[in-house]
Amino acid sequence: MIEKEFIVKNEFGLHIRPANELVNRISSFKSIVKVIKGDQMVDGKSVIDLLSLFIAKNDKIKFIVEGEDEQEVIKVIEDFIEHDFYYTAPNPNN
Amino acid sequence: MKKEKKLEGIVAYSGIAIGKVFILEREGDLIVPVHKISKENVKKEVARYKQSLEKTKYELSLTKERILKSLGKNHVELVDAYIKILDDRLFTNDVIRMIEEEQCSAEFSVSSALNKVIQMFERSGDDYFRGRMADMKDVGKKLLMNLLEKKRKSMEKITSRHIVIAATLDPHDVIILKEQNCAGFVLEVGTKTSHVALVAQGLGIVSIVGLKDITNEEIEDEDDIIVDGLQGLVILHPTQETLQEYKKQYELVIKEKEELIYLKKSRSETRDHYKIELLCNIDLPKEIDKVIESSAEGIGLYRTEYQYIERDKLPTEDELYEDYNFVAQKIYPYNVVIRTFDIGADKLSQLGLEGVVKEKIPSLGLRGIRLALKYPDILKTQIKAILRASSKGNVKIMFPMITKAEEIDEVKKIIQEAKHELKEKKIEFDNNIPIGVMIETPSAALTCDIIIKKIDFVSLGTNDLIQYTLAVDRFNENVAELYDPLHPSVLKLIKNVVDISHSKNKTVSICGEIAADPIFTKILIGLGINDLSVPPSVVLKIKKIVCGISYHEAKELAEEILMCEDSKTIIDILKQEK
Repeated sequence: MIEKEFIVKNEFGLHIRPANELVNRISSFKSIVKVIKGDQMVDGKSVIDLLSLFIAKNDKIKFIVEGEDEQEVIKVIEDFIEHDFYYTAPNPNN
Repeated sequence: MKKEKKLEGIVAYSGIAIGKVFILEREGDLIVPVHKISKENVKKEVARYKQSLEKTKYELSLTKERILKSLGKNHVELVDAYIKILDDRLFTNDVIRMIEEEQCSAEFSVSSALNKVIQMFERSGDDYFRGRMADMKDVGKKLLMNLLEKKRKSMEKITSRHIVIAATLDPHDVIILKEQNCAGFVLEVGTKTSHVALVAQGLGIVSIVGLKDITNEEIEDEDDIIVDGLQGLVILHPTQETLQEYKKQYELVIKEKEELIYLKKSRSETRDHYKIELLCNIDLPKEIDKVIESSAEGIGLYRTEYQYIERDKLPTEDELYEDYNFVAQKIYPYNVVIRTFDIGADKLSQLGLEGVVKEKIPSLGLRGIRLALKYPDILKTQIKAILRASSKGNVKIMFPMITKAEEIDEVKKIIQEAKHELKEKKIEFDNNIPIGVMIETPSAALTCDIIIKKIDFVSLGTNDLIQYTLAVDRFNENVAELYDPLHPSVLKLIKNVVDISHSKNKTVSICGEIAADPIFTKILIGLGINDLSVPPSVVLKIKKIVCGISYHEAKELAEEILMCEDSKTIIDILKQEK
């Protein structure tokens, strides 16, 4: 089992597009992915669950990954949080 | 006759629409009663549900292409996200489990699953997440309609006199409304950021959303209705008086819109065809869309302070580059002037660096280029990031708070080092990247002849220039009155900078607040300023003035004003002008 904490730097938090992208990237892996914010824990492979955490900028979130490919999964998550997730605006007009 | 009734909602796209009611559907159409099924039918019910789910996904995928054509890539990504919602565990597992274990009908299982999600989203005070709730409702509604095998009223009968009323609409529906030339629409759900609102903004359809229960009001098709998208009002059964009043307002709005469209298309030049470049100031990359929308011809000042404040460690070169590159790509083929950080010494300790002792007067302390030269590595990282974003040749670099020409020599040395390091790594950049400085101190304005030899362009930062010239802190209420952009000393400094720069064939821009104030536009143009850099929201306002004046007259005005001995006389002259 691997645990890793992140601070969300994206201006708009984890909104629908990045949530969708994250789920896309990790859903084919075998490991179970849980995401924790505060006292809530949800399924990291569910867009609706992720949105339900209302993750905003500067929030601290924790990923728990467990399974045979956990090393790979945590790398994918890290990569996503540290790079691609930066500054994607939540909608095309704002 | 029914009584006039005013209801308040959220404006999705502003404007005024006067027309006839067209009720597309009522919320009640989708109320699903608890319905149990027998054990034998469970399998069939699950199959029916799966079929509807696939059908809904298929329909959504069909709309994708159409949306791509009319609205572009960004919107398609959102549609993709909604298709993904239907792939969520909620729909693929939870609903099926409810059908199997509780023997509920597929309709009831879907609507109770949806209600759970919607309640959860309602808890969030955040407008963004509430907007997503409306989107979710729409996706769910589609699925329900398919299960119920219900068809909506045909949208073909909608015409330009109609205002459509519905519980929800999806982006694709809005495109059809536009094609039918529909006058406007009113919805029960939605916020300013729900997808349907964004599409309405994109297509320019007057609309109000978030008006709960509108479909349950006492209205019938073809009743009179007014959508006041200026105040966020919907008026049902308006009296003749109200109708007349709104017709007048409607004509005014139309005239203003036409004028704006005309202005967006027109060149920013004076009546006698003297070109003035209108540029934008931005503080964040996300403002870029507003810049493009405003019809500005580039970014005259991209402030980068946001990357250095309210965080606990220094930004990395990649992080900086990502933003610069994003802006440079988006604004291409126009230019962007990126200004290196202008923060005070107090911000350093937050970044985990050894700060300086607290300064008594930070505005006269270690800020701008002074701070940057004291920490050359931080500056070099930023310069490298800017250089990397310059490969298309549309990036310029600018340095703040110059007070003496030697500072430019030092900065140039750092630029050389940065270029060398990039070359070693074989990274592409614009080797001839134009270098400029802010003229925002009297010393820089007075020694402009020395400075200009070393650089490619200057930009007048009038906020600071006025503060330092008049020795006035404009936020200090005891002296705020003395902050005077028309003080003869200020005008003379501007004139000096313009004359010297022009004699060396270099352009001068202004990015201070006076560039955005219509009162000063004519004087600034008369003084010879080439570019005005302003917030995106005022571009058209300033453009309107630029297009209305004559350069020749502006020059005469500037000459007259330069002779004045105090700003009161200048204001009197400006008043007469009007």
